Amino acid sequence: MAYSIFCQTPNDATREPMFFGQAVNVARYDQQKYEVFEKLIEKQLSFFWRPEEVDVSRDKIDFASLPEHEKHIFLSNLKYQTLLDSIQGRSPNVAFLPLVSLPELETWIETWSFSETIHSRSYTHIIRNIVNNPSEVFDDIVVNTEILKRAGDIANYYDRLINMTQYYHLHGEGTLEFNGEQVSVTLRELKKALYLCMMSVNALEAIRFYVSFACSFAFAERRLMEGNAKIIRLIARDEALHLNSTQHIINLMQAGRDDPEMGEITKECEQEAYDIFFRAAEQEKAWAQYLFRDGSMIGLNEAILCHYVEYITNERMKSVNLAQPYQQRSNPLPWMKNWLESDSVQVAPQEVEVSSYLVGQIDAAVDENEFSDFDL
Amino acid sequence: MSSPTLIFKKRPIVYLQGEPLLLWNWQQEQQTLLEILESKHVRIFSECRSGFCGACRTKVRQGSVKYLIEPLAELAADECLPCCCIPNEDLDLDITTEGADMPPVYQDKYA
Repeated sequence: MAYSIFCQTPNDATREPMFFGQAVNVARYDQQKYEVFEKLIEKQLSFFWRPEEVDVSRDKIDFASLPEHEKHIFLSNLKYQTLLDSIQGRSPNVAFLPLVSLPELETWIETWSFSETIHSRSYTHIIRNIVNNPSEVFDDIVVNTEILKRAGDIANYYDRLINMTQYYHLHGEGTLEFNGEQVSVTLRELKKALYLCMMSVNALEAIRFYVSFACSFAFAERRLMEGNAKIIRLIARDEALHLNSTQHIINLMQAGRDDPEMGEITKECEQEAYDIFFRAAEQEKAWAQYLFRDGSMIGLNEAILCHYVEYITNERMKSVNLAQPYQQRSNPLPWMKNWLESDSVQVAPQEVEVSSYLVGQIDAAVDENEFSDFDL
Repeated sequence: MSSPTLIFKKRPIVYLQGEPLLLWNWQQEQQTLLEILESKHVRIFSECRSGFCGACRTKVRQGSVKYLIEPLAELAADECLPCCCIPNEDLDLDITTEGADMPPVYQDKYA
C-alpha cells in the first residue's frame, strides 16, 4: 500500500470515491465527479485578500484605552484564533491529501488550507500593531492552559488519522507493534478515523471560531477595534465557505452513495460524532467563562455568549444530521448577522464602511472650525 | 399559430408548517424570501446571506422556489436556501410558527 505521489495506473477519477480510492495522478478538472468542489475553489479564489489591505493603525489607540479585562478578552481571543488557524493552515493538507482520490477535492483541500495561512498572517498583522512585543502574545499560546485544553481535543482526531495513515501506507492492514503498543490498522478503522476527524474539523470551523468572532464584532459594535473587525469579517466569510465544504463532505459520506462502507460507518459513529460537537460546545462555554473571568464587556457577557454557543451548536448539528443537545431558542446575538453577511464585506479598502479607514494618518476628520483663524 | 396568451401567475401563499403566513407580493422582487420571512419575525438562522454558507437551509414541505443567484451550498431535493430565492408557487416551509407574526385567525362568531 506504499503511497506514490504520482500513481501510474490509468484510471477514471470520476469512478473513484472521495477518499481511499486510487490516489490522484493527473490534476485534471475537465471531468469532475462533484462539481461543487470546483465551485468552492472558484469562490474561495474570488475571496482572496491580504491582511495588509486593512488599515489597523486606529486599533492601537483603541486598544490602549481598553480596560484591563477587555484587553484580556481581546488578546485571549486572538491567541485562540492563532492556534486554530495554525492547525488549520497545515492539517487538512497533511491529513487528507494522502487519502484523497478526486482531483477537484484535492485542489479544494489545498485552496482551503492556503486561505487559513492568510488568516494566520493576519493575526501577526493585528498583534504586531497593538503590542510592542508580539512574542509575549505568541509565546503564551503554547503554555496557556486554557488554550491547551482545547488544542488537545482538536489535534487528537487529526493526529490519530495521520498516524494510522502512515502505518497503513507502510504496512497495509494488520496489527503491528509500535513503541511497545499494539496498533491494529484496518481500512475500516481508517475510514472511521477520517469521518470523526472531518466531524471534529466541522465543529472547529462551525462553533469554535464563532466565539471569537462574536467578541470581535461586539467590540466593533461599540466602534472599537474596527480594523480588527474588518479582518475578522473577511476571515468569517472564508470560514463560512470552509464550513459549507466540510458539511458537504460529511453529507456525501452519510448518504453512502460515494462509498457504501463509509455510509455504514457514519451510522455506527453517530453517538461519537454527537459527542464531538457536544464536547466542543461545552469547551467553548468554559472558554467564555475564562474570557469574562475579570468582568464582562458592554453588550456581551458570559451568559449571552454561552447561549449563542448553544444556539449555533444546534444549528450546525442540524446541518450534519445529528440530534440537537440544547433547548431551541431564538438567536441571542441578532447583530452578528450584520457582520457575517457577505454582501456587506467590501474588499477594496477605500470602500470600507468602518471608520478605521483613514489614508496614511491617524485622524483625517477635519472640522470646518479648524479654519476659523485662517486668513488669506 | 396560436395567439399570444397572457400567462396569469397567481400570487403565491407562503405557509409555515401548513399555516398560511403571507401572500407574496411581486413588487417585492428585490427582496429575498429570507428578508420577507425576517420581516415577519420568523425564526430562521442565516449567515452569509449570499448562498454559499448554507446556514439558512430550509425544508420545503410543498411548492418550489426560484433562485435569484445560483446557490453554492448543496441542497437535497426538498430543501431551499431562502437567502437567495423567491417563491415560485404556493410554498409550505418546514419552519415553526412560534414567534412569527401570523395573520389573525378568522373566528366565526355566528356559527
